[in-house]
Amino acid sequence: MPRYFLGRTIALVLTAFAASLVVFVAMAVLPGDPAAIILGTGARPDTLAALRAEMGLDQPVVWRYLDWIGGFLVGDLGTSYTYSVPVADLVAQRAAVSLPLAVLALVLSTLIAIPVGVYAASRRGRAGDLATMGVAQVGVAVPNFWLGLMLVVLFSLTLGWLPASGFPGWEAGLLAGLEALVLPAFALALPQAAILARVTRSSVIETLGEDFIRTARAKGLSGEAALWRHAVPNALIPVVTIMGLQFSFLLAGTIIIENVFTLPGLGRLVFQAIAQRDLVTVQSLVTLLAVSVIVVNFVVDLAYAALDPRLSRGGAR
Amino acid sequence: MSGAVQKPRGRLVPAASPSLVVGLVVTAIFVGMALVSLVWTPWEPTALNILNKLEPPSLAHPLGTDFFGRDVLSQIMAGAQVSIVVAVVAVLVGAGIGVPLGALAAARGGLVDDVVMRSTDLAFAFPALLTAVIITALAGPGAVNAIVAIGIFNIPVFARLTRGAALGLWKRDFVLAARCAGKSDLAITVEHVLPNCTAVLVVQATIQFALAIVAEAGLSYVGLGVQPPQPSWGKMLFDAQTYIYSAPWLAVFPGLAITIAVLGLNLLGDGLRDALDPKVRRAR
Amino acid sequence: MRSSHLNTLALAASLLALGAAGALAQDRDTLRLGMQLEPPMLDPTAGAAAAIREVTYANIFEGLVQIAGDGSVVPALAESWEVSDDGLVYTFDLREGATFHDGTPFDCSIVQFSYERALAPDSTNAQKGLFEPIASTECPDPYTAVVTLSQPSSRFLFNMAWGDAVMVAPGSAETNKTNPVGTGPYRFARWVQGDRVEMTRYADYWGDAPAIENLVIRFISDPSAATAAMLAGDLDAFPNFPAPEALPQFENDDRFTVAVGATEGEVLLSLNNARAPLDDVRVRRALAHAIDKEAMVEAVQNGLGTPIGSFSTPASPGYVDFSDAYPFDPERARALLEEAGAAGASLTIHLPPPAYARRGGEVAAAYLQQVGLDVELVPIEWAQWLEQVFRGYEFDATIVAHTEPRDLDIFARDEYYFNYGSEAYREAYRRYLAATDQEEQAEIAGELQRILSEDQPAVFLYALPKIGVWRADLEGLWTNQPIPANDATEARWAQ
Repeated sequence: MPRYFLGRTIALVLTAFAASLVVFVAMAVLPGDPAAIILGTGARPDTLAALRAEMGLDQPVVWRYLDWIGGFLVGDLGTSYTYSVPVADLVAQRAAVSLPLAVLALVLSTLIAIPVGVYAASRRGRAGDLATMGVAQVGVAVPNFWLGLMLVVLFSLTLGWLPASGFPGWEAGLLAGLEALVLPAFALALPQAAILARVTRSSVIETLGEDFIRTARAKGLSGEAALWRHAVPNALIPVVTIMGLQFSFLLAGTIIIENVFTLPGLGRLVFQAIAQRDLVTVQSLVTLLAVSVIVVNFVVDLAYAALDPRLSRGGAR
Repeated sequence: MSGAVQKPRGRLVPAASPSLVVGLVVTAIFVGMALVSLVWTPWEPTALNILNKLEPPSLAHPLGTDFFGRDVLSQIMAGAQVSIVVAVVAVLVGAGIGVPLGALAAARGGLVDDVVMRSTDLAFAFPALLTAVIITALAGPGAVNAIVAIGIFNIPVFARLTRGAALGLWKRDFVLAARCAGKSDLAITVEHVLPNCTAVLVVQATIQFALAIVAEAGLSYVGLGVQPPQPSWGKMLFDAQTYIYSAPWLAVFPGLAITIAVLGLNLLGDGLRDALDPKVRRAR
Repeated sequence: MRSSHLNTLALAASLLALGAAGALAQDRDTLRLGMQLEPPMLDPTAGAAAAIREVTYANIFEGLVQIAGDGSVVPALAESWEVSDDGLVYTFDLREGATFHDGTPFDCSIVQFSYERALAPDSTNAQKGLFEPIASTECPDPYTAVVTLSQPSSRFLFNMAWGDAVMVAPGSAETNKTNPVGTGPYRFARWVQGDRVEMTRYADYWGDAPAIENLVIRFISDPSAATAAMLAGDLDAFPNFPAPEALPQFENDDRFTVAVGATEGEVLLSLNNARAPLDDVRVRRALAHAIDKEAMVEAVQNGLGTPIGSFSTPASPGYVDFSDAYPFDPERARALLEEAGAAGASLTIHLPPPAYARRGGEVAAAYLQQVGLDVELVPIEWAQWLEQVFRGYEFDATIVAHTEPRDLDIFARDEYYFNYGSEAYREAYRRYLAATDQEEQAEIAGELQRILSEDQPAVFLYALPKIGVWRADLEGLWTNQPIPANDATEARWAQ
């Protein structure tokens, strides 16, 4: 186990570095001059050169990478070309929208999926199962950005209940902030809930077939009691793992949903930064996202290995 | 050489499940629509008719017209072409590179395996859409780059799946027997391992195909997919967003088209899995 | 599950209803403007984005002179000025008692600093060219600035009214990007990146205090979101409303005023005059005949916008109407292409991100295909457009709006992306610059437009409209937009 842990840690660090290098190289070869974007069509060559020097773009590429990654390692994400403020501040500001959105979506999808999945499992093969799983099939197929648009049509335009888009900022009040996140969170959560409900259902059905449940039933426990007291808790282990993995998907999913609802989150930040050639911001943000996904995967792997020592050998997930 | 291909025990042609039938029918309609649109659509999908712009659904235009007066139904039919071409090629690219990589990792193990697996970790570390955005920023938007961007994400999926399935097979008796007979790793992979992975791979390909359709629509929605005048469902959705107040139907129909196509493919995938993998069928 | 889901929504909805009621109650101390694009920074002397000016011009920063809503040059930090007979020496009488928001007094040393900073070798002023004619800036006394030019320029005063030529103080120039300190009636309060900029009235402003105490400018990029924000009462005005298709909704609602005005922006199908077959004037004229400009305005701008035939708009001084020079005539277009041996030629059109370009490109492509051309559309981001099209000249055609006012000079430049090398035009433009008499200038402006109309170095599509939507009880915002700006200093609530 310690050797396995050490090996995986080294792999983690190497993967993270590889990720930073991939991102940096992509940004370095990206066509389009950040200085030209700032100075526009009236700029003269000497002005462009002056600004490039100011931004450090006249330095050799290797030096720029070392400079950036050195800062990154000690928590200095650089200064945004576009906004002239520290990238860390930008990220913190935008994460205050994206993280609550992802958490809200995760909570919603769990609250919807687990009861539905358990219900379907308990009605296996009957009308209730077929109906809920049919809905879940459709739910899996709906693209979240379209669902978002449809929710806007229904709840904002037709019923006028919720804001169609935008984010007032948390200082406008917790309620106003949550209002703005309700529709995007549902748009993200419903398709995820459909997936999760299906996983929950199969997991519960599988658990119901296991020996300890049969024993419990044999001891006279009612079907309902066996289901909730024994089967569900055991079935939830894989479900929780999937949720852990889904969180990174949700974080990525916010990218497109933030565009649908024009929320000032990380996804829109990275979009704008790419369009405006705010290379430092893109580099730091994408690397940060990649590292967080790598770390989450690492933790999931370790958890698996702890639960099932046989897996320590391969990287199977 | 007995057991070179492990046939599923039980019936060779399993009773068609409802999923399989519905999935096949929907997929056939979807593909058929794209084929028909090559030769016939109710209206010319790209013809502008600005005097007839933003007409609600009517007999002449069953799904209405858009802001250029183009017929929405014709555009949805022609849009299916793009969805299919991009998705098929992207999945083929992914499988074409991913399957050999996975098979290689399984066959060689050790360092090769580690490198392949860590590379897939690396690829999974970047949110798919984000990478697609960067790729299109590097190479410009368009169908080919959309295919590349989506294809890249299919590589690690197929690599991992193939490796997982192949690892199990390498421990099986018939492979060990072939090994003792002095066959090379390559020969064993081609003759014994891959054929036995086919079922899993076909099922996964169906699922990836559905995901690729959503991905293409997503890329086009953010303006990075196939370019006009070629109609695309995602682009139609993006354009519709501006008119969501005055012409909401514009946003409804392309989204329905995506949902139905993906639903059909998912059902087909489920049906195929049930039919091809008896173990799963039992669990369900 | 379902019922609790609905309960949540019902609860959220009732809470929202409370919030909405609050928003409708008018806050007469705050003016909330909407803008589509967020400025990347707030220093107009360090970046080209129009959004910087739309936030700061006249509100936070002022120049010696300023452009008013009707397009005229009016006094700002200079009370008056005199021009020597040879057009070389400008003597400005500076306003006494003006101060920057941090208390720094305004005097001639500030003028000297601002102009010399723009001209310095390490200057990052996006319009350094505007300052080019300046030979020296001198201060005979603290409230007189004498600017000497190396050659006469009839555009100089107008140019010094641009956002790029505002007055900045030595102590704050470096931090203006994030904390702009000017002499204007509003002082910067804070910037919530991705969302809004807030300003408050500057107590020690030299002129009349604005009627409304607080100014908040919110950035809403999505047109449908802009519509929603206006309808919901989250904003008081959207001076450059991005969703022309939603206008009927506002026109039929007496809570709102819809003001359609003019800009000096022209939307062009710019052509690379150095590339075959576009180097043949017959081909360029064929393109002009092939595109139905009225239909394009209808499809792209919902019918708002005036078709043009040369590089000027009805809002520009000296405008001559050439919009009938190339009537929509596909047959004529085909014939011209045939004549030039360019029938069936292929053409690539690069399209930058704005809707006028992307949608306009689809319309243009449809019309050009009708006359037998093989058109490929290539959408492109601004960064690549600047590099490849604008600086690299690697393009056939592109759709772009030229929003700078009075920019007839771009066709006279030696190097510019049109690759238009008309000696006749350059010669006429030199006379235009040298003309000191208004009437003579207008006459030459007409001549310049005629040359451009004949040569069609670009297909001149239409004049960009300015569509403003605001609350019916709000007065004093600009209807026209002579330069990119949201001058809110005159805004007030009707009684």
